[in-house]
Amino acid sequence: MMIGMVAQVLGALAVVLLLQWRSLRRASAVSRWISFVLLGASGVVWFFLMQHLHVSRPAVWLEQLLEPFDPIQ
Amino acid sequence: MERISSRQLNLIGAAYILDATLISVPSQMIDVAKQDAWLSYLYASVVVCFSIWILSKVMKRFPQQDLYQAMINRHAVLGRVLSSCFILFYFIVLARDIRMLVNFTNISLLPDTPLIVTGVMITLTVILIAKGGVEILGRMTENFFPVLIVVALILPVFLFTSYRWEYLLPVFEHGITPSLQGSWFAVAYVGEIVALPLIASGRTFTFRNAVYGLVIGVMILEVLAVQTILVLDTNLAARMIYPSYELVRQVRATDFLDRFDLPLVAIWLPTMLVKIAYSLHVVCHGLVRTIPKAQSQVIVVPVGVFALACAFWFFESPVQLMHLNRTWPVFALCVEVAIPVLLFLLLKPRKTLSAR
Repeated sequence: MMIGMVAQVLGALAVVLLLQWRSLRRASAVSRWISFVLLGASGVVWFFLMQHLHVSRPAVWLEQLLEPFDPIQ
Repeated sequence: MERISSRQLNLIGAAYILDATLISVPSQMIDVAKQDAWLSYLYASVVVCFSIWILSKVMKRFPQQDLYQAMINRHAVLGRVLSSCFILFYFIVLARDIRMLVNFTNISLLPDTPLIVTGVMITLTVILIAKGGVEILGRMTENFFPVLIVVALILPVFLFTSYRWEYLLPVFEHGITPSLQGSWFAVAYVGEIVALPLIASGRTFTFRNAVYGLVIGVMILEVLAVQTILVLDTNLAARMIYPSYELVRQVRATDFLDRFDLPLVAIWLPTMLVKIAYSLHVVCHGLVRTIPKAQSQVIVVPVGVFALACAFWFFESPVQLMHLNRTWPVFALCVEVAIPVLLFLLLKPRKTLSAR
């Protein structure tokens, strides 16, 4: 089950990397690193979402943070 | 630097205001402001008008640069911090709009298609549009958005017979407060027009250009809000997730064209995709300005993929998206009004020796 999920996420990321490979090879090191970090982060988020049914949502954090300033609550 | 014309800038501004607002806040606004909901857009536009006036004053000092460049060239560290605020804001807007469009497609058009399939299709299209840069965005807006304006303006011809004028009355039944509360929901969405100076140079972004965009966008929102109230009534519209879509479902051209809503959605959908691509471009353009040697063409794909992941992570359901509309304006007003005022004070023209 878990291996299947990892394989799905890695497969999707591999497709993206394959499509991007030519432009990544010619890109600056900074752009390459940004790409790898963001794609890696996307993979982690997807895996996290597939693994857990109830996950902590940033929209809820944001709501809780901003609620005291809401003038029409 | 890529260039867009003044007309393209007007249309981009109007599209930024109109496209996402149609499927986000109308029901909440009508729930709070009732028959005065149409006034809420006017109050929100006054606040946003002040913001773009301030930004136009700032941009006048930097005719060859966009706002990111102006901030970072003048204050390397503080400029990057403020740029990061804009990047974060438009990244959340990007993730929210992707999720909003996925939900809309799932609820209204393709209920059996898995959300992720719709999400991947939308993100792929948005990435391809944004990869072309701001010129392509400008041209696509020129192609699609005028058609949406025309369609929105001819809607009254089809719906006129369904109007019940008593739904719109009495105006100010409970004073001005409900419509002001309604404007709280609208201001964050209308204020997204402050993205214009981030993608256009000071020469293109003028107060007049931005106000034309604001007027076009708000005028069409007004037309649709008034018709929603006149046709659906406030009690019914406030209980729907997409009252604007329900409004166009009332359009029946002839007996055999009773699904006339589908061509209308087919006209709106490309403009919404282009609107999401603006946000992706604003985020990538900001990263390129903030991080030296980063290339927009390369990072647009990973940023798009990350936005898709965040669209599903940030928001659990359409209901959560609607809940966030209540508190989101607090953060939005900080970026859309407070930071422009701060920039006006920070980016003052330097005193030259001759001036002294």
